[in-house]
Amino acid sequence: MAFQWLLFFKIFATSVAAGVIGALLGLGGGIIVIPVLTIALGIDVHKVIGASLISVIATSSGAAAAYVRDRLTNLRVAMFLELATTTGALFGAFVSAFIEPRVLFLLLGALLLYSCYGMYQRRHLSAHGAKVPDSPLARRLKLEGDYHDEATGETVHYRAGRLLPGWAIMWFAGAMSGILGIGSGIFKVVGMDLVMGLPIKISSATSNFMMGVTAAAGAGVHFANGDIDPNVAAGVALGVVVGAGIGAKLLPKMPGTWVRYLFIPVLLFMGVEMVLKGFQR
Amino acid sequence: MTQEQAVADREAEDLHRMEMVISRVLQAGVVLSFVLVLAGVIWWACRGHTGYEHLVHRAHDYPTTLGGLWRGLRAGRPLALVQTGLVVLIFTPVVRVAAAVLVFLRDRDWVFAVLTLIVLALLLFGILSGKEAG
Repeated sequence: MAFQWLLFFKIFATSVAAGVIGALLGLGGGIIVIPVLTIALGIDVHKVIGASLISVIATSSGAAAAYVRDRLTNLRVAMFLELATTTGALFGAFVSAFIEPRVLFLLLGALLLYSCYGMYQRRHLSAHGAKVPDSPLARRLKLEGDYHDEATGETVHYRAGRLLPGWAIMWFAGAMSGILGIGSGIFKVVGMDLVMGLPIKISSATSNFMMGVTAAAGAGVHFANGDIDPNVAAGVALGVVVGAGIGAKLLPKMPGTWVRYLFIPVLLFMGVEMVLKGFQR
Repeated sequence: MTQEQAVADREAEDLHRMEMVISRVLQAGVVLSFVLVLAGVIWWACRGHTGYEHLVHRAHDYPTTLGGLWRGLRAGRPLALVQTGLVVLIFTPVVRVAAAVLVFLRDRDWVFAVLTLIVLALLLFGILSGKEAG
């Protein structure tokens, strides 16, 4: 096949935008890449899912250094939960090949609308996470840590609780990641923050850190299934890395709240589009 | 400073060092992958074709296994270089997990060593599950 300049440029430009917005909002780029590539550019949804997983790995791995430096990522919690997300992602990626595109569109639409709702809800979340009963297993596995809260100036100690429900949610998050090609940070954060009682900052940093491994599990299977099409994924990989770099530079200058408000209607619109596309066929 | 506190401080320092190593591994993987994909795209644009024209009638006119990737590289096909960059990216978190296994083994933290080893095995299983074609 000859090199398609126009298509490559469109994919690249979309991915730069996805990378910038993803970095500003703390999302993997998938939530933007998938709707635009499938709806506006009409690319096969399975190949878009493969390319999106690539973008999730790139953004998560690229950003991990910064999160680790801030000491907000809890590695033990991440490793403990990765067993659940990896199993889920492998299952999801194997199943994904057998799912009809229209079902994928409906699932993606539902996910976008749920993300929209989640983003709206996130304003109310407190910094300390939910209260959870003491867990002897978490104590034994040392699933705990301290972090310095810059807003209040105090050091907070935390320990994970409700490990089993947390695991179940992580498995589900992994499965969604494998099926739909997303980082499913939104489910991971809910699992750690609301269910396991980890502070919100720890939850989001750890979730971002875990995303790369979850996505790699899915991407491996999608690669083997032929869903990683370099004709599509090359532009996505390059664009997202460039975009995330720009986003990280912009981040300190941008107030996160209005970016979020700006993004909610966009998600709403794309979610409805996806659902409609699912019903069309 | 009590002895207990000294041990705790050393543990925290160890953990932080491990975190820094891991984050460097991740950054290096992303940079390497970016360079490979970019080089492949430039090569492909200059040559004007992917190197997989003989497979256009197949479902996938690009490599989908590690073996196919290797053969494509040896045959000098531009798209194989792009795909190699993408596979490097997929392997980046895998290397991160492997590094964690080593650290937990060194610390004699057997529970976490086994846990991460299982994750590593699952990741490798996923990527090697493809059937040979092309």
